[in-house]
Amino acid sequence: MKREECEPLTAASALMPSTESLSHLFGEHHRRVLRAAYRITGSMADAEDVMQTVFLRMANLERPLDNAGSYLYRAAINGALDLLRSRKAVTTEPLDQADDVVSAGPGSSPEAEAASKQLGDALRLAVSELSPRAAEMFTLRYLEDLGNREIAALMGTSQAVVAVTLHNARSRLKKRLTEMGGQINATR
Amino acid sequence: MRHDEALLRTAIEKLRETEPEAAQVNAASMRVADRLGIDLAHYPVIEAIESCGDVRQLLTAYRGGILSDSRRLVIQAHLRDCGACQRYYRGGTESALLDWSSPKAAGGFAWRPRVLGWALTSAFALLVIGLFFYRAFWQVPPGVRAEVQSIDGAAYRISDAGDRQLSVGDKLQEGERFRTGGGAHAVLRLADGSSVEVNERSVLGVGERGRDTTISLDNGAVIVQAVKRTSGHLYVKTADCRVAVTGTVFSDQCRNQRIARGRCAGCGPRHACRYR
Repeated sequence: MKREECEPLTAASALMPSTESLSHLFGEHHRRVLRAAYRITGSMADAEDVMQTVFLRMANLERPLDNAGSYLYRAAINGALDLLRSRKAVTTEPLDQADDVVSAGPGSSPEAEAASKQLGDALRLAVSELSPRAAEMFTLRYLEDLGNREIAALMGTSQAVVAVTLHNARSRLKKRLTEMGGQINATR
Repeated sequence: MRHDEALLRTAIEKLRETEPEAAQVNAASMRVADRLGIDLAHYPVIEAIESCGDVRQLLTAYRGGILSDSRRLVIQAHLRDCGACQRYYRGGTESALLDWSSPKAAGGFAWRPRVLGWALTSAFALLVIGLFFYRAFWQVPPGVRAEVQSIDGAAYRISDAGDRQLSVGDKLQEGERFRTGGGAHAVLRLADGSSVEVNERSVLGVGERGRDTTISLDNGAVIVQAVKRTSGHLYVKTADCRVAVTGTVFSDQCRNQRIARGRCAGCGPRHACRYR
């Protein structure tokens, strides 16, 4: 997302129902929101955009929410997944991401780190190809470490549905990763 | 472990290990806060409440009621346990102890058609029942109570206006007394058609309440020939007893008997239903 699109935010902030309340929500939840978005997107710039979008949406809500924390958390995950879907065709990588590869810990070769990073990116791409509901469940279960019961409560469904959806998602992701693993090896 | 399973696990681990650095997080947070118009310096960013200092920084938001439920509960629990923070909370701004919540609007009287309908129906039913009982037992009907059919001797009407000698055809009203002199006899006809033979030196009055007619015999002797009534009773009341007469049928104690010659034949000597 380009920075120019974010400039009129000062004017938008005037529409906020309660800047004081939003400030405290931001102070309380922004790190969790940012980290969740970062784990999914793998990019701080993207996570920052997601966080901004989420809090802006929160500010423009007409009615206060009962559980703003859960709303922000889910909105961040879904926003990050949406961003992945919209960018799955883009293969370019920002320069600041290269720091992760060269600054890897001792004992690990840059080649292994690059392969591992490619594997992570492959999983992100595969997750973005899942249905939005399955992608959200998978993210909540395996990246945010929530239990099936919590996911079911959060998404308003049953544990059985969550379990089946996760099983199908895992099957699809395994198949897709195997396909993409071949492509990764072929490019080396 | 199968290869695809291992591959998925490795990829998941890779993503889980993806944690941004604190400096990156702070810088991104400051940028977003700046764009949203949030002054993070004024509103302290406290990720976890770990000390009294964290609690005190959030007290302003706690007073304002804008904290999340979880944080509000944590601060409430801490204020209960920590005397220093409790004093800080109370001493910081005494005005915070005031109830700043908007007062509840006083519940105004609201017309509810259903309740009003039931109330009106109940009131109407009570009115009808009351009117029925009033007319049946308490109402003093207007009109003449008795008429003199025949007089043998002297008979008088005693009223608030004074005594007046009566003649055949005169009428008795409510509250007036009828008195016969010594050696006199008279026959009265009541409004319902019953006849009352009055012996000498007798004093009586005729009153009506609702559908009932009562001959109040103060002194003397009478013979009553009652007509059959469709409603109400004809009573003969003395100082000792009151006898109900329906047609020729008396009350339970005087069933199927007539009052004759100043004595209720069915009552017997133990009964007080005796005319003097």
